[in-house]
Amino acid sequence: MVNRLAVWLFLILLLTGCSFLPTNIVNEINLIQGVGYDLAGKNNIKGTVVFPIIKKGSSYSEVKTAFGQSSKEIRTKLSNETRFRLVSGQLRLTLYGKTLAKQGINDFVDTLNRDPSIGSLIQLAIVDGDTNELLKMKKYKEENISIYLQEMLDQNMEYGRLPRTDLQTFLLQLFQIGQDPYLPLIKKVDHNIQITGMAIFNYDQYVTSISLEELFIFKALLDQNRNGLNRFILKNGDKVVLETLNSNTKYKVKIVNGRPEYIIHLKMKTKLQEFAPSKKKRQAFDKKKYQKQVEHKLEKNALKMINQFKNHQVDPLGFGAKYKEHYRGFNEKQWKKFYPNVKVRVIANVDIRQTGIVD
Amino acid sequence: MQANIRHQVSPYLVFFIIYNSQVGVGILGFQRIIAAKAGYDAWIGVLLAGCLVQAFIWIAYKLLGKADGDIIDVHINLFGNFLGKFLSFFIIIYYWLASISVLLGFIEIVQVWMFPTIPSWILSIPLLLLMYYCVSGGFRTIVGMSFLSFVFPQILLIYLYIFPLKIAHFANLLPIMNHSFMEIMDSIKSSMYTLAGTEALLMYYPFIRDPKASKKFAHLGVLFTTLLYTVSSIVSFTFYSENQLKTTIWPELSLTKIIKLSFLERFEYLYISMYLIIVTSLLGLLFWCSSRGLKKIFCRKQKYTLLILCILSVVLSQFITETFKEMLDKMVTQMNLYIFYGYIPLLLLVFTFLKRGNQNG
Repeated sequence: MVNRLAVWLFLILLLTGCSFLPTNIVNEINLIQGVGYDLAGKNNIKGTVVFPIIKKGSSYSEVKTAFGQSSKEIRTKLSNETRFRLVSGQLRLTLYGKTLAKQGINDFVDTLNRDPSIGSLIQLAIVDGDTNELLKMKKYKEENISIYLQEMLDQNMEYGRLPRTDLQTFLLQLFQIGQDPYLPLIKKVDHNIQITGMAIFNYDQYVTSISLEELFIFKALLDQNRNGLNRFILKNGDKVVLETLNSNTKYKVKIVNGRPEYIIHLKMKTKLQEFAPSKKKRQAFDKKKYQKQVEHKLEKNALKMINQFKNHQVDPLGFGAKYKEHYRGFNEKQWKKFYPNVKVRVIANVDIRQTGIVD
Repeated sequence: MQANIRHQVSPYLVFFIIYNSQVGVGILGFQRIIAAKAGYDAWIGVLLAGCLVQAFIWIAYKLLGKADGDIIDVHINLFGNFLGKFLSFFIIIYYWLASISVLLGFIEIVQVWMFPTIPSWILSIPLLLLMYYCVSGGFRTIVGMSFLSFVFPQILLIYLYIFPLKIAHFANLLPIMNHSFMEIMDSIKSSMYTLAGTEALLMYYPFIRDPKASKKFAHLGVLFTTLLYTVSSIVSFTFYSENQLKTTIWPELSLTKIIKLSFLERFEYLYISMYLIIVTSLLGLLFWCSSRGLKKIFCRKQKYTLLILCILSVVLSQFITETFKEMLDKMVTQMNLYIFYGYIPLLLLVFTFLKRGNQNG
């Protein structure tokens, strides 16, 4: 009996251990949902955090700015002016200014990767301009700007032209041998925030970008095209808008004397959405003729983009990784030398399946 | 020397005991370790290591079947009372060190992922109390725990693997067999730590009713865990790029970071908490083996030997440093390799030879 009592007492004593556990009570912390970093002078970073203040009746997002050398230093400085502790477990969006991205963002991504409380599905994006200005926009004061931007990007990746990117894909590409990462590029245009293209990196440094018009072909080359509209202006000014029903991209790698040669097969099944012949006169849609012309256009655009990558020595399509998969004697240094002159052929195969309910 | 039938378990339950003894905290981080030298060919090493474990099961059954008892009986039978107990003592120490290694691994994970400021003893004392409670229920309770530790994680594992497989890069695995034989050998060697655990069979053999019938379940258990580890490593290899994997300490836990359900954003909290069941039952099995061994060697009650081991473990887990922990893991791996894949097969040879001699004489 005494024994049992002693055990119970001991167990009750153990409960004091619970006080060792750190607690996060939801209305006694500030949940950072979005952060932005800009370059501010030499070696100085301007950090901006956005966290919601939820009150009965009215909620708004609070934006705070501080200067520092590292992201966690900025956070420490920021907590000097916040009511509650700042925590990053609900982070959804990180933005980097273009000028900062040109110097490399590895140091900032490292802390996201290191922190166990940060999920891998958060969105990263590059801002053409000042992230601070973008996050401070009055229009989104009432609305939660971090969630707004995250959902905007998610939506465009799912249904629009943007290829899928998030922290995980960025890290994967950053560490992958023979591949460079890419992130969406957004910009403040008047009173709106727009996606303007894709930022292409060399390792962690921003190098070049591709425009919104080129994103369709970029996504197709990444074999992520599921559905999306694209307009083609053909030889004699005929306008054709096609909706992708099904798209499939295959890379064939041929090794000639240890050097790779690529043939990219782009297969697309599409549906005609809009057809505006230059003659301004209704005519029946000549499937065969236009398929040929669209194919030609696609091939030309794809090659143009690949040449742009080659000139900038960036490899977002992962040609190097594909070379490595097919060639046992892969050597990274040698590949870097090969890359600007590597032979790439694109063969497009567009099948216009449906023309709608008219011919 | 079989145990009392009241304490014995059905043969098919061996499947769950084997699974329980093999799957511990190792599965959360072994992907990086095996890929250190063999790169993305390391999954072949896991399969080959699985074959080695199958061979060990066969040897263990042969040896214990001949002696009809546990490893201590074998030793006493061969070397006499004093030397036999002395040799068994090393194996018992191995069981204990292995359980410490599991305990420390789990504590480290909880500290890094959930509560960075929590002291070790806050975790180790309740864990060991729970474990003590299980072990004091006897071997059958431990088997019950093993069964639970098989059922619960499978549900979560399916979730854990489906999400990353949706965005897997299977091309990462190419080209297959791009590493030398020695590099693959290295991945076999490092897989052995995670696949280790079957050696507990040497202690609980007398507790299996109809051991001959249980043999196929033991082999099935090993097959299951080998496949599980292979799938787990392939999931990680296709999810991470090679250099990324090499920077990730717990690849399988980091996988949970991409799982987002509408009602739960942080899957890892659920996953790590669930690991408490796995760790408790594994600790239970290993502590049961070591305390029963000590009981037989020193002729004391199991209650007391277990208590002493628990207290020693708490003290050790409190004062342990990072370097010592690494040394311990290394030591356990080495001991496992030399004792169970070097010494035990030799013992079988000696035993067969001597026994035949006796019969002839």
